[in-house]
Amino acid sequence: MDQHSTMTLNHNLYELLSELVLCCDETGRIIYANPAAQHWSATPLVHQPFHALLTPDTEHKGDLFLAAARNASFQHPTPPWELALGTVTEYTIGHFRGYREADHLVIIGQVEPADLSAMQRELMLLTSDLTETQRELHRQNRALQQALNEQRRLVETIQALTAPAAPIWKGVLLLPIVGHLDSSRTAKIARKLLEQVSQQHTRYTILDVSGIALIDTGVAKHLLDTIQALRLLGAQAILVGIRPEIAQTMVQLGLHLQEFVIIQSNLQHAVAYVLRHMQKEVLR
Amino acid sequence: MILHTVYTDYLDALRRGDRRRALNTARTALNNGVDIRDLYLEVFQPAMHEIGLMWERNQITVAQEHLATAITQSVMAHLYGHVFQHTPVGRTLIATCIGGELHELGIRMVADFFEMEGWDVYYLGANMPAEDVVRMAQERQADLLAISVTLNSYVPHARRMIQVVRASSIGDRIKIMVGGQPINRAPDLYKKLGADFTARDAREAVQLVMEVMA
Repeated sequence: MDQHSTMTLNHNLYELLSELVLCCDETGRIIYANPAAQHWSATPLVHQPFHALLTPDTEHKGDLFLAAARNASFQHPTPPWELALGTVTEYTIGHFRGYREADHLVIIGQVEPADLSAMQRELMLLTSDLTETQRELHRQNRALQQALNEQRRLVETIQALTAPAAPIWKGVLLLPIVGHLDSSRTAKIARKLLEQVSQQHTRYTILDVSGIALIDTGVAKHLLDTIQALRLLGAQAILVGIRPEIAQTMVQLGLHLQEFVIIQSNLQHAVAYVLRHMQKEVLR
Repeated sequence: MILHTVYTDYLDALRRGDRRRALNTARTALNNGVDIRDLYLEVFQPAMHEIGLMWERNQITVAQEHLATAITQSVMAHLYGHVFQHTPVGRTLIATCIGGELHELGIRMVADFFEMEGWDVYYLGANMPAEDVVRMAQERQADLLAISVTLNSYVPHARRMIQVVRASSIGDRIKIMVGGQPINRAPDLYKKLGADFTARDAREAVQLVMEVMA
């Protein structure tokens, strides 16, 4: 059989194989591709360079493979090379061996099951997603931390702006409490107030709580403790502007307010009360 | 010198697919005073480059290369806490990558380098449609868009993305930076694509932006 008919016979066999069979010239240009190989390319492979079969990021590896094939023989072909077919995002891995036969290169490839490549790709995407999620979490944590710091600064500013108590008459202090009261703020206010009362020999302290939105039992207890302490220092506490919700809280505490605290509905009444009593004392 | 030892250890851990050792190597280096930027550019980047070359030379399998990429991504995520050292500077970067997920590492490093300088960074992942990139840039009022182009065949995609961004309402205001191997190989390509500048690596990108956008 002459060489031409050998080739023809081989080609007929190649047409039936599920393996990819390609023949290239010395430069790596494809002179024959069986249907299994052609299946991986939308355009005819013959006359194209070998790497036309591969994904763009495998081109260089394809050239290195061809170089290895040039130095290999039928008896000692190259070890299997993994080359990617398809596109960069939708690739399938093929295992290729090659060798030189006379003036051309013979390349035989086996494509791994498509789902295996897809699984690898998905795994890769999964780790990529996971690490990105981890980074996103860090990022959000930082944003939260910043928001918290911002809030802390705001709270500090507000607390600093709330002057504890203003003397409105000799021996009379007015303490307007505005905003949100928590235990730590109540404790701070109480400490400062008691200091002022003892320094200034205060007789009357007007506590205006009309600007407080909400009061819990802990805070109410704190407030009443403060009022009791005021009495020990010889100052009479006058509560102003108790809202119905706050009144309820105080009643729930079971404290009999009237015994040690005077309650007035608004600031005007409170001031009038203080002035009236101071006058009485002078007259006495 | 110490960096080279770290590099050798790290690469060896990658070759063996030893995630724990890779992470330990990186952590120990940081504890010994190695700057995280040096760790990125003198250890992770050359190690991954070497892994890529080994894959090209048929010395490791695709699976091994994927594992090495995943390990490095995970190590970077673990060290992410070290990225925030700077107080926020009120600047925003949108970063995206055109190409396969295997080539995201470079742009992730760029993203981290900008975060280290106190920028707000939004990394959009690989192959985000141009319209989504524009929407994100508008929402976040981005100052800079960084596009990584991983392969020659993706250069037209980058050109189109830049066209879409330039034609949008933020087109005049936003600066555009491109990077990646095809851009590095052709010195004037970034101008032809309509970008404002290009950089060879994350450190150069930060330096350049600091000069131009100061």
